[in-house]
This record gives sequence, C-alpha cells and structure tokens, in this order.
Amino acid sequence: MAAWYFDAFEARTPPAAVPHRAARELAFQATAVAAMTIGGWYLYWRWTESLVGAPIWFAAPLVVAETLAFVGSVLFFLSIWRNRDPTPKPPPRTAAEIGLEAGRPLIVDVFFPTYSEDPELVRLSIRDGKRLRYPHPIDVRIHVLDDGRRAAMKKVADEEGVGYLSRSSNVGYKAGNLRNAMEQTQGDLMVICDADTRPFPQLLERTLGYFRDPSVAWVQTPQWFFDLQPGDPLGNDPQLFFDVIQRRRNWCNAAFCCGAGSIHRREAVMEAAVKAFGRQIERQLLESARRAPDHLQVHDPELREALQGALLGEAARATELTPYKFHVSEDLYTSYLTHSDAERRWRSIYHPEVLSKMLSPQDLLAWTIQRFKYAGGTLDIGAHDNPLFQGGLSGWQKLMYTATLWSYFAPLWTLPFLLAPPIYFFTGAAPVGTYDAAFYGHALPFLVLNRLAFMIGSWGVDSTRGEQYYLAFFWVNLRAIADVVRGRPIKFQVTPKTRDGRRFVSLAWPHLLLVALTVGGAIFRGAEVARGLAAPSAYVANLFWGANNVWSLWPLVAAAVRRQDAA
Amino acid sequence: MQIRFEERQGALVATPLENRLDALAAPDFRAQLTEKAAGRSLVVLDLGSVQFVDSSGLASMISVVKRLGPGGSMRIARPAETVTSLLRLTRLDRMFASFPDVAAAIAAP
Repeated sequence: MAAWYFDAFEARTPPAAVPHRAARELAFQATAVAAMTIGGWYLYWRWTESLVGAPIWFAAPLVVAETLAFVGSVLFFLSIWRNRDPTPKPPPRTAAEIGLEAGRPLIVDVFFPTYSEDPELVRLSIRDGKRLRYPHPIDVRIHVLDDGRRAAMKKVADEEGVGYLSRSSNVGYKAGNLRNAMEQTQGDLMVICDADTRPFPQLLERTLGYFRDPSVAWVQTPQWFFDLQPGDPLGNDPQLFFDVIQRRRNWCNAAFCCGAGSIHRREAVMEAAVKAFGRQIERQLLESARRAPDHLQVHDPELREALQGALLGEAARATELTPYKFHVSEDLYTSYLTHSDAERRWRSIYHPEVLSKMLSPQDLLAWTIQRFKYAGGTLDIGAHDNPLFQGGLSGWQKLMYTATLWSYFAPLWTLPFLLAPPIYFFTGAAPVGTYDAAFYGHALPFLVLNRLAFMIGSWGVDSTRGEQYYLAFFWVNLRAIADVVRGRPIKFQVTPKTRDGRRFVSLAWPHLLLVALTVGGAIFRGAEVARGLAAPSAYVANLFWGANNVWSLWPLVAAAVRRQDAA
Repeated sequence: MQIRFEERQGALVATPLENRLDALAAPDFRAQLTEKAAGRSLVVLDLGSVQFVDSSGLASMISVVKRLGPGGSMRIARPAETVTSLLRLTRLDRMFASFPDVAAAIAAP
C-alpha cells in the first residue's frame, strides 16, 4: 500500500459545528443593525462633507469604493442574519418513505468521479464508501466514474468490487461525467463525492431522513480538509463558508450544493434537467419562427405542424440534457435552477455535521485555479441568469444568491483600498479633506461596529484567513471579472512548473508589488514626517491602513515565494 | 425491461410491456431502444401498458430521440393521463406528440 503525506493525519477528527445560541444571534443582529445605521451616516458624511479640499481624482474613486463595500457588508450581514438548523429525521426504511411508490429498500448510488487522480488514492475513497452503514436494508452501489479511461483505475474498481463507468469523450467534464453515470444507474438517491472524498460510515444514516420530505432535493454536508497544516498559508479551511455562510441559508431554503459530500434525489435533479431541456427546445422553436422572413411563413396548419415537428427533432438533437449544468460552477448553477422551479418548490438542506473528509489544494497554483473557477463561474451565472430577475426564487433566495455574486465583485472596491495608502505615501494626496476629529468621529464608530458585528456573527469560527483573503483575492477575482466581461470561457492558464521551485511567484506579482509599494512608501513618507514636511495625522492613519493591507496580502506572498518540491 | 419491437409502415413501434418507465427501468429501456432506433426516422412508443413515467424515463426517451436520423421523431401512442400531464409540465408535449393509437401516430403527417 502506498504511503501518503496525509497518513499522519488519518486519526484526526473533524471539529463539531458551532452550537447555535439565540442570545448570540440577537447580539449579532443588534450590532449589525447599529453598524449599518452608523455606516449609512458615515457614508452620508463622506459624500456630503468629507470631499471638500480633497483631490477629486483620488477621493471620488475611494468614496465610490467605500459605498460598494458598504453594500457588500449589508448583503453579507443579511445573508448570515439568522440560523435555523434543520431537524434530523429517522432514516427511512423503504423507498416509499421518501415519496416513491415502491415499498422496496432504498437504492443509493455513490459516485466517485475521477480524471487523473492516483487510482490508489481513489481506492481509499472506495474503501470508505464500502464502510457506509445503515440501520435498515439498503442497496448501496458504488461507482467509479473515470473520465481518464485508465486501465489501472478499472483494475482498482474491479479489485474493490465496485462499478466502473467511463465514456468515449469528456464532454461537459465533471457534469458530463455525472450525466453519463446517471444514464446507466438506478439509485433513488445519489451521493456525489470527489475522487478524494472519504465518506464517514454514518453519512447515510444521518442524512437520508431529510428525504422523508418529498420536496427535499439535496442535502449538503460540510467539506472538511483533514490534511491542513497548522497555520495553513493558503486559507483552505472552508469552515467559515460552511459553518457560517451555508448554514445561515437553511432557514430561507437557499443553501446551495457544493458538490462533494452532497446527497441528491435523482428525480429532483432529472426533473429540473428535463424541464430546462423542454424550455430550451421551446425557445429555439420560437426563435426559428421569429427569424423566418414573412414570405417563408407557413400558413397551411398541417404543413406547419410537420415542419415544427422536424424543427423540434433537430433542436432536441442539438440541445444537451444536463442533470448537472455543463458549467464551470455546475453545483451552484444546478442549485440555482432547481431552487427557481416555482412549480415544485424544491428544498435544499445544509446538514451542519461533517460526514466526510477530503484533501486540500496542495499549492498556490491549485488554490488559484480553484478560486478562479469559483469566481468566474459565479460571475458567469450572474451575467447570464441574474438572480435579481430570476423567476421562481423568493425574495430571500434572490438576496442570498445576489450576496454570493456581489462578493465576487470585491476587487472593484478592494483594489482602491489597496492602492490608497501607497498613493498617499508617494504623492501626499489624501482621499479626505483632512484627517481631523470629524473624520475619526465618523469613521471609527463604523469600523468598530462593523468589526464587532462580523466577530459576533462568525463567533467560534476562525475567520482570520478569510479576512486576509478578502483583500488578497483581488487579483484572481479581477481576472475572472475581465474574462466574463469579455465573454471568454472561464479557463485558467496554468503556469508551467519549473525546477527551481519558485514557480508561483508569477501568480502573486501584483501582491508583491503592492507590498513593496506600501512598505517603501511608508518609509519614504515617514522620513518626510520626521523632517516636519508632512502632517503626522494623515501619515498615522495611512500607516495603519497600509499595515492592514500588507498583513492581508502577506500569506499569499509567503505561499508564492515558499520553495515547493520540484515536480 | 421487456419491450416488444415491430415494424409497421416504415416506423419502428416499441411497446414496453411493464407498467413503469422510471429510474429503475430507464437504463435498460434506453439501451434497448437506442440500439433499435439508431438512425430511424420514425419511432412510435406505445405506452398502452405503462401507467407511470418519471423524469428519468423521460430523459431516456430524449436520449433515444438524439440517436434518430436527421428529421427523425418519436411519437407516443396510448399515453396514460399521468404521462400526458408530465409531458405538459416539462413542455415536451410537442416534441413527443401523443396519439390515441399506434395507427394514428404512424399516419400523422
């Protein structure tokens, strides 16, 4: 058996979900309301009074950035406004108990999609899948979905006695791989894993009870990276996302699917896909009729009917049926479309207990590609199916999806925040008229309350890396925005690996540049202040600001310059 | 899944002999029909015995249509009310036109 770098972490156990406390939630809501009220007052002052005497080329972009950031804060606080954990239900005995007519035992497919992962790594996942337990008779069918079409992978699947499914092309990537599997399998429910997802034995017995409600379409469980090193420089720990953000979406039925560690009702996924297919065909037919010039309009009803039949057939052949949307963010997009089904009102559940373990992205390149896909995929959904105009979603669901979308526009305000201190240091220009008592009197209460609300809102979950990456993420995010605006496919150009082990510097050069400009600028302006040539109050304010920026950028810079083992 | 296949006036008539076309039956239905229907111009699916079709069943029908020849179509004969409702709900009622019997499905323009 191969030795793995994570062998030493196998015995680790996941953190428990942070217990819900009604008093803490109330404290958060009160602080958030205060922060937003004071924030509105601060922004009013910024727009109406603080710009007097400030250079407009600098002050105007910054006050716009502050306003956009404020909108982001409001959306964020609303999106974590309340927590209502779902009530677990006993595991169903039969398929009839999840709303199917049959009284037979449940059939559950467990999918491990893979492409290039080491087959021995996938073997570990398969073996853990085989340990799934259930208190009633159940038919668990494990399938390896190999888009790499590898003999070694098939051999492992055969040795482990599980199914092996592959296909002749890789159309649709992971979503296409899942579709191919769905066409060949029969499970009432499907467990979606990644190749390295190691389900815990209790995964099914803890989650299948939710499907007693026939409107539950999927259950998402938290993803836990069990191999994280202490002080993980890449901020991989997803606890803030799962335990704070996803969990607070349960109450308004807006928790979305994140792929690995989720369980799906086949009928929900397939019905949404078939409906989307039907809509697409209908749209194409209408479009064909609209485009046909008047002299080609067919007036004979029988002929028109026959023509439409032929057009429908052609449209059907040209349209993909996609249970999981063929998209770089297939999980989010599929969730979004399923939530939008006004006829069915499908429900999603976020179950807050960790029920599987997986491996984290191992280097800055893998991390960057993953984040770039998240950003680009989400922005692309916003560009094509804006949640604000999506029928079928409730107001709160629209708000939750909009909050997710808005967060990826962050570079529009974080970049001005990152540039402001160096601009001040080198030019002496300030984004406010004066750094006087009025400035501090307006800004400090807002900043303190905002910080407090965030702390209380995310109580018990370490959010340090999350806060740092909120700023440090700007470059990846900016590239994603640029690609979506230009209509380019969301594809990250991979930097080739080199032998010298410093291969990731190219991913963080903007961060390095900003750190250098901020530190160099602080030294330069510090010397000016020491010689009495510049006001200390503006310098001190920008020194704190710049220090916060450098602190935020530093983990990414450190990860980029850290020597990696050559490939 | 048991399916009876026959040729009638140039059309392939497929008659499933079970009462459900659901997720359990869909993979086999799809495999059998795809093989027989590939490249055909008209397939009539006689659903007289089928009382229930779910989305997986519908998806398998779509999958078969994609394998038909250019201009090819699949028509439904003798669908149960639940089936026509599902076709309407999913807006596939025009793509899978329904007829009271096989002869009418074949004779339609």
